[in-house]
Amino acid sequence: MPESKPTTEREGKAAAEESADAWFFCLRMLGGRYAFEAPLVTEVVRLGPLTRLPAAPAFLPGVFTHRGEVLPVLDIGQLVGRTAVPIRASTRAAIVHCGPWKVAVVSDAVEGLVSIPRRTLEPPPAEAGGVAEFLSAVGRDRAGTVAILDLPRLVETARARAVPAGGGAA
Amino acid sequence: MGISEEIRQKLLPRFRETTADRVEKISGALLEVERGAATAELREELARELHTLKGEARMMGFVGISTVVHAAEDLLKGLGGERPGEAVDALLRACDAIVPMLDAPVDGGDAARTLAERLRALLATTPSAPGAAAGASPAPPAVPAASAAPTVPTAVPAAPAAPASKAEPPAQPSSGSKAVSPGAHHDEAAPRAELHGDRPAGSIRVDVDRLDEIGALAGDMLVEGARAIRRSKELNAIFARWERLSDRVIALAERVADVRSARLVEQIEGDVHLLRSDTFRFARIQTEAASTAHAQLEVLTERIGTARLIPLSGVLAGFPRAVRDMAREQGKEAECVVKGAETGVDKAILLSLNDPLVHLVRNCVDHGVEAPADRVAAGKPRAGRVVISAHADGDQLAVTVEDDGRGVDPAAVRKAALRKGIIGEQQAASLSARAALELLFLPGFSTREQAGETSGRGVGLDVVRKKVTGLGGSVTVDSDPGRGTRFTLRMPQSLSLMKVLLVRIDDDVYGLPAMDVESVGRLDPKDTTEVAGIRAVRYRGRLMPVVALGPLLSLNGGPRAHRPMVAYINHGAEGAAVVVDGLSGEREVAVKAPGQFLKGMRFVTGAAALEDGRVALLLSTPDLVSAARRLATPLVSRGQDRRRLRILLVDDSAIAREAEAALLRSLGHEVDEAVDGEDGWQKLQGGQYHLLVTDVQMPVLDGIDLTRRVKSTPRFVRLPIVIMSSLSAPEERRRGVDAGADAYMVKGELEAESVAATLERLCGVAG
Repeated sequence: MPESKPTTEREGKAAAEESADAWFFCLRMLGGRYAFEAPLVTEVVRLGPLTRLPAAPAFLPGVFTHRGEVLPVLDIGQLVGRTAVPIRASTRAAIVHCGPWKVAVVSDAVEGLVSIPRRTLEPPPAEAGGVAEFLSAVGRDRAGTVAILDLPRLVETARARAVPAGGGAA
Repeated sequence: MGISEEIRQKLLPRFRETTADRVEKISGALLEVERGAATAELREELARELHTLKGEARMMGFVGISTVVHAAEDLLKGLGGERPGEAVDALLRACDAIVPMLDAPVDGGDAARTLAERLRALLATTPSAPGAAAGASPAPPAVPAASAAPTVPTAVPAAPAAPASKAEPPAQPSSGSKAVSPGAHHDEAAPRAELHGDRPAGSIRVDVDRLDEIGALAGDMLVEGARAIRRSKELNAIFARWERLSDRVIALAERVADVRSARLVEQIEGDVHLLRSDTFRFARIQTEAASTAHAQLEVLTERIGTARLIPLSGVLAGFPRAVRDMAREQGKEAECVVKGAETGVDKAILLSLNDPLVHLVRNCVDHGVEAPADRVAAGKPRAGRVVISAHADGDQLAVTVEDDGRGVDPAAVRKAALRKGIIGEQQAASLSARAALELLFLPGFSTREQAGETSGRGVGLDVVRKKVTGLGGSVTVDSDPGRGTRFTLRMPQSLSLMKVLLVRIDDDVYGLPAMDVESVGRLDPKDTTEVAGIRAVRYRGRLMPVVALGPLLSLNGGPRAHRPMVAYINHGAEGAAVVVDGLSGEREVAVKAPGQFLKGMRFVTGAAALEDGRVALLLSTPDLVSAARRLATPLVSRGQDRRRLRILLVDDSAIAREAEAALLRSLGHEVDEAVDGEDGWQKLQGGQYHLLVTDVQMPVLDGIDLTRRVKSTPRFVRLPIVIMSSLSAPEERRRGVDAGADAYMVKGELEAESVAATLERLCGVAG
């Protein structure tokens, strides 16, 4: 979690890192603004027609092809037990890479890259259930408050819930 | 080793190529040995390579080569650890001789004899106790070795002469030089390496991964080609609209009275006409080009698919020897015959096929083949026979492993399974002989009490089945007690292209492996029967459970047609009649992995891109069949200790109702059905129920209103209500709970376990 420790001896890179704004990729969903580390996002796409996954949890509404790859769609809303993000022809999704996993995160709207001053980043106020479980920080920019998600952990959780036994090695 | 001349000719080019590679590898390893830098693994690998080379050469009829290699093997075995010295040199020399021998008469002529003799002579002189004498003097023993070989004093020419050995390496009677100083080997290493550089290249080797990549691209291109055809159809439709335009212009021309305007309209008419014929011509050419391109891409994809198949011999070659050795260890005699080793198979399958085959073959030797005395007593030849045969069947690979041993006695299997608690008494009594054999594939099963030396070490037939089904294949067993057992493995020959039957659920398309689809048709309700709560249809003399694919996959939808489309699928001895919303035909698709994130998900084995941009998910037949059976089979052993409930089930979708009723019945409960809320309400008045299970969205009276009505009626206030809905959103749940439901279950998540748990929670377990 990015923290700004009071430093007296600022030097080199550390100084640059500390002063710089942090870049996040911001989505609108669940009636709020959610963001995660920008480098995790490879591109934003308009969702093609989905094919529903058999025996899959509701937070995986289906798969689609993108550049010859078959990608699952992840609905964070359903994962955290809130309402589903409605999927329409205009729905856009952010393709994210978290470790070995590659999924398309759907949203109500894509805001894109936002820079958030590091000093505004605060630890999440609570770790209650729902989406708060996956918060890593709360930040603020000119447009308002942004909830920063720990996306790798969230995707990992989704995978663990979707394929309980860790899946066959096949 | 009997392979036909035809096959031999077919295999010959590949044999030459692999032999050259093998020899190169062996030479490399020998050099390491010489340097004293060979690790234990390398030595093992060396031994293995030699062994394989010998086997292959013998199979291909190159007796000369196999004799030489055999001698080399022996020499290598006796080789001391520290100073292999001259022996290695002789071995390397033998290596050089092998490749040219491929073009010589198969017996290798004098050259082969000479080489073999020389190697054997060296063996005689190599100190059997390595280490002790090794340091002393490896060179002097070479002298007797040389004299032992009559034609060639020692086959070691002076180092500079090495390149000449390419021409006629085994026959080097000229050189008279004797003992070799160790240093000379190193000098020779370099020119020797060049020896293999200029062999004629009739084929080149391509990394399989790269070929896979090319194959995948070709598959994608094929889809693109199909899209192009679609586009040109659309183009034709657009151009067809010219016709209307030109008709209107003609109509206009007739009405125009003004001469100058009429001329203009006439010109327009002419233009439109020209444009129309030009666009038609273009459209025709374009359509032709698109379909030609598509057809060529089809061929390309198919060729690449074939090119990436690897012959099974790589896996099978070692079996004959292994069987012999295994049998000896157990005081048995057995021979192994391999047929169809030239059959090609996908690399991924080849790699995964080894373990199951090893296990099955071990199984034959261990459990199947009897001791020689017993065999003779039974009127069989002393030596048992294990036959591994492979053949391609369409785009399928079939491999059978059979022995002529004692066979499997279904009664013994049944007894053993009962003793091990794998099945219950009732089940044991009702099992057919065929079903009893299927028990062999259950985890924790082995007909012998003691795990055998050879097989049965933790790995069982269940693992074999798991592996093979993981490849999209199946394993079945037939046995004729007293006469033998046959295991049959079937799997796709290639993983990259697969024939599938595309089926529809709602608007989504799924693929069933065409090899597992026995037939398709319409299901007439009057052909189905209900047996102990299981809906089944008699198909080709067999009762198959009828399940709707949508509910089975926990997806919405489900055909409402009176006579819905059905696909009869088979997996091994089991099958199911799968009801779908529609069929979209059979075709060959390029299979894509469904992505890392979805790896290991139930039912899904792969995906294929369709021309319209959709993805068709390819379904696993084993998963489907086992799920269908689970949904339809009463869980006898479980039902006993649970209370039998009378349940009223309300759902307007006949198929969903059937699936749910089957599930509830499988838990040992009695189920009455109602087709909507109002019907449910009526039935509730007339019957005594322990539980009400209702869908939400229904005509006449929906589930929420039904729940409210029931809960507000004093008589039913204590009747537990479970809402089963396809709506999973939290506010839907809340709506249900607010109305008074005691539990809310999402149809997509219906598992026997969780349903049973919910019912227990609501109604208690004890009767």
